[in-house]
Amino acid sequence: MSNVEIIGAARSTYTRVARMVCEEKSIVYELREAAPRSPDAFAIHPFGKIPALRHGDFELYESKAIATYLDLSFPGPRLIPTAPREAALTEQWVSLVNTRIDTTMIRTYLFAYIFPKTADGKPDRKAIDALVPTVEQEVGLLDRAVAKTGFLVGDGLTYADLNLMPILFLVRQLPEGAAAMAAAKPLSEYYQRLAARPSFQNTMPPPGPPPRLQ
Amino acid sequence: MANVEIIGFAPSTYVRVARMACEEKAVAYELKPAPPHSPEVLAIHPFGKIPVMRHGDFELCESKAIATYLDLCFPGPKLIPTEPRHAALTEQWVSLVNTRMDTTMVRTYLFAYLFPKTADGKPDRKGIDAVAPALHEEIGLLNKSVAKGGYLAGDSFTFADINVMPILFYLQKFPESASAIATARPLAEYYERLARRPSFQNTIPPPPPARQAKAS
Repeated sequence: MSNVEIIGAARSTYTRVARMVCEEKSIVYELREAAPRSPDAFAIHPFGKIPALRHGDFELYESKAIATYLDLSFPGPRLIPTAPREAALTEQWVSLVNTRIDTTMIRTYLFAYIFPKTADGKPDRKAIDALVPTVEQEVGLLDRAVAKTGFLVGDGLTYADLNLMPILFLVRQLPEGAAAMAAAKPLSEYYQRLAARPSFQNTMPPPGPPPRLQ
Repeated sequence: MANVEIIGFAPSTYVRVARMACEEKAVAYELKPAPPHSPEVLAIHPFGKIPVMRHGDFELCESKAIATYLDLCFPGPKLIPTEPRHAALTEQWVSLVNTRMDTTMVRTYLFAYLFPKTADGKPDRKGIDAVAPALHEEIGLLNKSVAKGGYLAGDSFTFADINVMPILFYLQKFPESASAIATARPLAEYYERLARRPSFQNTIPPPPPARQAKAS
């Protein structure tokens, strides 16, 4: 069968998540660069979101679905556990990150810096200041979650960790996010340890902001 | 072990999803009524969302996580497939419904009727008209998807169907969405067929309060 194609943007957090899954499982894949809402993205995703996947005649979209497909189709370490509690906690942390923490940290906080709605195009200070307590609260939540074992779920790497790392990578590049993370020792250690993994190093995005789905 | 407790309130679509998963698997459960952000909910969900679950000493939040736990812990039909393509398509439709359609259909369209931010408390016509094109597009997308095999993912019943049915239930009760579903034949047939399942019949929420009923 032909190689796995990941259709997306190297700067997108969720595209990086899909690539990290391939890397962790040693799946040969090609990244086909495509912006959100580009014809290539719309060819698979009804709303033009990225990443999408093509594998032979099979097309799929949404990062969690792509991870599920790769995890079940290919050998290598299981990233989504099968024991009920660990499986459920993995889902829980993916859900919390995707429905809440991604919105706070990327769509609101990071975008107030890189896509400000201010008249002069400078970072939206008012929005940033208003958001700092929420960023700190969510960093604190993650910090407590990883403090016990050094992972979000159980005592080993799962897809929940892969799903979070690209977000933390960007949050650390902004002053308030960096300060909140520096004050959260277990989370800082967690980040440093997981950032050393080849799956993270091999998917480092090029400089520049992530794409925005309008 | 103690019974499964589903903590949340019956009108919530996601609470109903968790209850339907119990019903489909014949898992004995108790519904413990609790609104979002109540102390019982905040004890388990960091942001106070419903449903949450307790089973003995195990506590869990987020509906998809609860469904995963129930599906793996209890016997009965598998709701989340294990075959790679079928599993992935189930995930895809859960993700698409939860990140996009729930926002359009429930948080924007239905809430413009049920919890309008208008000065006089009447349905937010402007908000309803603004969301109507997206509502139609997304109903069309569901319609195309179920037209092939009669289910969202592949040709058998999965958690993806459970996850969308409580949303369709409410859409049937408001004019623009009801007429859009009525003209989407495969989706209308899908809804009628799945609505006959005991898991759906046994979890019908109580009628909305008077102010909300007036809007329908």
